[in-house]
Amino acid sequence: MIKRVSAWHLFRIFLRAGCLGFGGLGSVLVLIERDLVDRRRLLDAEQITEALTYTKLLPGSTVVQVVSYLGWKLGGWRGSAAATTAFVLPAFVMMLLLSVAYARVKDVPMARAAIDGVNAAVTGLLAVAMYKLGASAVKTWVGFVIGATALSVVVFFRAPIVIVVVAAGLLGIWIHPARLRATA
Amino acid sequence: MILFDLLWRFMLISVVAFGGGQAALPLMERVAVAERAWLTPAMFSTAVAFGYITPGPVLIVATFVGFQVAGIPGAAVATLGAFLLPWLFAALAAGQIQRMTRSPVLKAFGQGAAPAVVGLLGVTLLSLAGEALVDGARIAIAAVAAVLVARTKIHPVWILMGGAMVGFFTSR
Repeated sequence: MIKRVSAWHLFRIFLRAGCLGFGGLGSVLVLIERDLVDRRRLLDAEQITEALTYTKLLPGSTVVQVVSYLGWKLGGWRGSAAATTAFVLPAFVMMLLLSVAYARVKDVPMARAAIDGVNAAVTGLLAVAMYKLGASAVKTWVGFVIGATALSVVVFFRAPIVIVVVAAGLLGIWIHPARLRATA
Repeated sequence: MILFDLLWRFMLISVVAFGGGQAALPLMERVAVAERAWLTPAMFSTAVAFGYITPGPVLIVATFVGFQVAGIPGAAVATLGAFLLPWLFAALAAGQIQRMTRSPVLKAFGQGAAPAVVGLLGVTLLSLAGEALVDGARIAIAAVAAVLVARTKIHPVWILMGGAMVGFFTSR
């Protein structure tokens, strides 16, 4: 059985995780495991894997959803709300500070040059992200067609992206059950 | 009302962001830059950089967008919109609805949506690169950044800072 943890305690635990959570989903999971499994012994490693399994198919930030899931297991709805808020809070504050700084500095020529350099680097990072995402999500020619169609439809017809994604998802439902049945 | 628009748009984005936070980036870009013209591509690029620098979820880019649109209330509302429904879904998954989250229908939806998001990421890339890669120096920065993040374990923060310094020293 999972030990019940107070909302306030969960807030403090995940506030710390939120402050230290650099490096994406993998790193944060390791962080959570070290803290909640090894150090505080509130969970087993399997329960973190379970959280990931059940949330990775859901839309939205997976790392936050793992936190929400674990928060619920440890402290119900209040625990989940406390854990999630605490986890996002440091990033929120920091992003707010960066936004304010940006607003002040963005037209200063010296800052402009640095910002332009950063933007160029971001392009490179996103290209790699796209490649990695593509490698995991686009495994069949059907996937390729969906991706290429989405790109074309948005570029040439300015289709609203939410509709494009929903349509692609529905297409996925239409196509895949046939395959699922075939492998059953 | 602008705050409601922010809240609603980010809620919509969060609901179709299959593939985690990374999937939300092109969705946010399309909405913030192309559909609502809240930000220029250059501003969005910088928001993404800030998203890499901050800990936690990359969807925190919503905070930046919200701030540009409507100050601190905008930032708060956009952030709420980005995380409210994902939180709800995850808490429900932990509670009663576990079986639904493993449903083949949801999985199939995701398998259709995920490639579409990759395609949209291509659109975002074109949009941001068009404004960012205007000369040889910037193209070089992008190429080096791509190689470094693909082949080494250097954290994006350092790569971005490197880009800032090179940009600074190669400016006219």
